[in-house]
Amino acid sequence: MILNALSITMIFIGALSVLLAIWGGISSFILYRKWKRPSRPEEKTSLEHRSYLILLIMVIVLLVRLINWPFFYITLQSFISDIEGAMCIFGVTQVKPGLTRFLEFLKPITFFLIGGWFILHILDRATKTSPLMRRKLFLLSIISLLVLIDSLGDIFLILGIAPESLVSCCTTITDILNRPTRTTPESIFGPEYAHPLQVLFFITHLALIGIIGITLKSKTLEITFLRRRPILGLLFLFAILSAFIFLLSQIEVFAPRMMHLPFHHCLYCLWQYVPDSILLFALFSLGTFSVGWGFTTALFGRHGETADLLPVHLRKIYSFAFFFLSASLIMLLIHLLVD
Amino acid sequence: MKQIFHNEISPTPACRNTCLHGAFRQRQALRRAGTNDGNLPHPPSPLMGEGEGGGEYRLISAHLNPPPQGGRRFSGDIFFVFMWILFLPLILVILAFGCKKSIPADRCDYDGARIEPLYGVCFSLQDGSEKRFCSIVCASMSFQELKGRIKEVMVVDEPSGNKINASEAFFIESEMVTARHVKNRIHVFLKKEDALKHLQRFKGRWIGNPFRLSPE
Repeated sequence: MILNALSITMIFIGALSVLLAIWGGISSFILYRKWKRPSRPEEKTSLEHRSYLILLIMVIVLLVRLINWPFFYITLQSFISDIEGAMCIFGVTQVKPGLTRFLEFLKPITFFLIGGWFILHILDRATKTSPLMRRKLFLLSIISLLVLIDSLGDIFLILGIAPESLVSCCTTITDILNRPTRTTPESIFGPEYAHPLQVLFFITHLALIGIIGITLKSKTLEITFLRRRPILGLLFLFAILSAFIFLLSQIEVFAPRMMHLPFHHCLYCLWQYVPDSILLFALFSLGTFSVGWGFTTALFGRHGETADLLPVHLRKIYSFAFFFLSASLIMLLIHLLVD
Repeated sequence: MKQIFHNEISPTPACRNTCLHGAFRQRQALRRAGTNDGNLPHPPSPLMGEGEGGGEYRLISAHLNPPPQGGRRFSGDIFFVFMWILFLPLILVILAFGCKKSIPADRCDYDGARIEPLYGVCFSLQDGSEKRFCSIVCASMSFQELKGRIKEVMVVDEPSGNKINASEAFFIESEMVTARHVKNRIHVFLKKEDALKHLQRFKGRWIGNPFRLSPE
């Protein structure tokens, strides 16, 4: 284990999250089961009191887990100097490649689900009768399971990264000729794939922003639930496609250009050499997630009293998405123009 | 705007089409009469709580509390403008610093790693510029792309630390690793005896010049 302030904090957060996720997950599932039909008003009052405590504690745990995603990378960054051969986060990820890859995959999913749950929670709190409580508790028990896995993974990873480990860094893996990020677009666009990929990125990104803008201006968010849900679902699918193209184009086209290293395709190096690109990635991620959160809110949030509040909330979520995606595009354009 | 719950007022003829007032009243009346919940019309879904799926909480009538369309649009726009006012200067400031950052001179032109002078490689290009690399590995990965523009390749003799032309150097691949991030195992020597010593000590083998500009 590499001992520094960040790794200790990471383990402390992980251990605390494990305990509270187990307690919160089990409690919320029990409450979810009991919430169905409370027989007496006293029993219902008791359930409500318990739910307030569980929600209060779990909200704090989930907020910490939201911050944990960037914190995970900050911690890995702090290990670079202690790992032989690591010159960026990629090198650190090579010490425990399987576990790190799993956590890198799990963390955005957990972040997305927690964000979606928070929006439902906010929506529910805006009502007088908490009609979404039961759904919230059910989703909370599922999220607690993911938080538990994520936290355990963090602890095992931090404990498992031994100092002075010898690894190869990104150059020997991300820059090889048969890397998937190169072969995939090459198979579609041919050897000169960089330019078409760049054009495709701008088209999909602008289209996504445009569709969100049209959604905000039109009455899509106010139409009936059954008609709204497929539209927002398709929009979410398009956002996922756009995110895939964003990643591909960043690795193959934009990152080398922003780093002034035309043959190097490592995103971790990009974050290291061009630190403001972290904000670009954060804005893009939040924009894409916001589109997804809009869909999940429309899916789970329409219930009784919330039906009238939902369009207002959806409008806010999609305004966020519009803002985040536009801001990331502007950042990228300024970078490309200045560089 | 004050919210008026639909169950606080009497049903109107419009209720039949626009809300669930009628169903709610019917369920309430049956409950008062002692009917079990299971026998009530439209029982709630098992995934829904009490009063959900057509119960009490849906009864904020759409026609009594219509959404303020104009106001919502306006508030959405204000929110949007506020976000831009708040974040745009921040983004511009970050960009101003991010784009103007200086590129360190001892950075490898392939992967950006810091160049250890003893293992560096330098390509002198025909336009007068130079490309510098942290290791033979990084230099050879760039070599194919830059081959047509290269005038001269300079490498460093490991025992002395002097820069020499790659065409004059002896190259050995051995167990000894330099530039660990790329696990470089290729070593450069000006003198054959130095190369032989290294070869015997680190179980090496002779390799040809990886930066051959013209076919021999």
